[in-house]
Amino acid sequence: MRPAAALAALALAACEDHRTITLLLGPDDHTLTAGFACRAETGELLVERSHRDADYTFQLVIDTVELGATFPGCRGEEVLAACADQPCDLIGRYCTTVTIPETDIADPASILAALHAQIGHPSLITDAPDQPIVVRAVTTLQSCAELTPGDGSLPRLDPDQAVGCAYSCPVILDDLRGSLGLALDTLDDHCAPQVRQCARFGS
Amino acid sequence: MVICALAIAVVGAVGCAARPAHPIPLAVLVEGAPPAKLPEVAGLAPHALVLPPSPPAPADRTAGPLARARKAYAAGDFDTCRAELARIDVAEALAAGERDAAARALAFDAACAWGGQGVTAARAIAARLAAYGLALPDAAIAPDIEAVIGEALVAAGNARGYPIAVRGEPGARLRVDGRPPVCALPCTVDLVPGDHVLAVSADGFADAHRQLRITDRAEITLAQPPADPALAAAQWRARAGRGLPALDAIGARLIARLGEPRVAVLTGDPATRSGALIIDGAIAASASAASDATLLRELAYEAGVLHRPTLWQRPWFWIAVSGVALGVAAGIAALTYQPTVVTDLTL
Repeated sequence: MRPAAALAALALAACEDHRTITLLLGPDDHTLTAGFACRAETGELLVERSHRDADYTFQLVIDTVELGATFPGCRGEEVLAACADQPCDLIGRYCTTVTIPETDIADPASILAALHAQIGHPSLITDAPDQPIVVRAVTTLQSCAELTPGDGSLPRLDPDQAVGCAYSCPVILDDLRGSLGLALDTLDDHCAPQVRQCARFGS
Repeated sequence: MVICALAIAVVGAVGCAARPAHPIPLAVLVEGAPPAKLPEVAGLAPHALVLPPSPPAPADRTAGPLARARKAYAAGDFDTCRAELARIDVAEALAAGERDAAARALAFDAACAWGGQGVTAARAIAARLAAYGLALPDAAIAPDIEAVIGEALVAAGNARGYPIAVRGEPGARLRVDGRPPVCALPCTVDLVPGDHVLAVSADGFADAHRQLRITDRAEITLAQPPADPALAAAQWRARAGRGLPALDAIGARLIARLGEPRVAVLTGDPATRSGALIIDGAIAASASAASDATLLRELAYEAGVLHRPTLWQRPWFWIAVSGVALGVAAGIAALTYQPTVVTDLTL
């Protein structure tokens, strides 16, 4: 019986195509998206709000937002329009605290290196849904305890405490190969409103 | 798809090989050593056919009377001599080819008639001996009767023959006055005037003979009754003994006389059997096969006793169809197979 069960398990495993997609916090694995370098109307970098002593400390939150049956385009307007017709639920969240030395904050490559040095390459989604989703990364001053209370609920983010945000195009991860890049729909670095809007998205 | 292919196989296996509602009886005659058990063939009910024993050889009915007649002749008891010789059917002896016995019987008869002062009778008997073409036997008879017989032989040798047309069973062998066969019927033979015995023999028929007196050209018919099973079996064996084929048309006719409507005759070594199926006296099929069961089945198919299954009634057809269906199903499954995709997202 055991060999038969093992054989069945082997056959089942042979019928699975296991893939891994890497999430990039920018257009490629060496570049940080402009969504994490936005300035407020005053000209201050939003990330400065997380400056404590000689470091910048904030929470990196990566949310998975389900788009249901719709498959909108990449532009923020299209995503928001899709979510206006139906609820776009948060189905997964990863949250961790990140501390970047102030010596590295001006260099995106250093920021990425520090980030991976602290948190490695954690698994964000296991067995992605077979329908369109949007992956959003938010840097916020809200604590992980507040955002992942442990009761299974996923509280909405406070847009006013977000210091950076970027999101992916709507995608079915099963159809994707390689990596998934994040970006913020902005034309210059005065993109605090877009960060707020980005952090507000998703119910 | 796979279930479909299996269903095809099951339906095929159930539906194939139509068989008659009741097995058809089939007598099986195996030449040589018969197998311990006849093979089982679907649709047939084979049973062994055993040839009846050959009829006993006819008793010698001439030796006794001849010995007693000779003894009576030597003792001068001519009446007893002729009475003993009267027990001998000379015509029958000639039909059986016993020319020497017939010659002795006639020679002693002539001698006893001569000794009893029956000169006319003696000459008539001598003429009869001469007409049969018999030679003067090496027997102790008086020289004067030997001279009479010699004269009769000379007269017969000088006589002009008449053409006698003989009809009967086509192909029957004709023997004249106990000589070896001279022709096959219908045929014409020249016979000198006088008494003659015409005998015919043919496979499938009992022997027949007729004694007749020739005075002119003539046409005669010799009828032969059909052979009974024992005689037919003996003739069949005798043909094989003479090296003739056991399964030609004549052999089939002899087998038919055994009283079975369908007879399969198997010949040869069990590993390389050949045989024929005889139906109503004719060879309906002949075949060869490596096994008795296969041979019987092939003969039955060939003769129309069993209906040869059509392509779709054969198990191999359905096995092949199932194999092709399985292959197609596997091909389609392989071409359209899409494995379950499990995607993980990592930072």
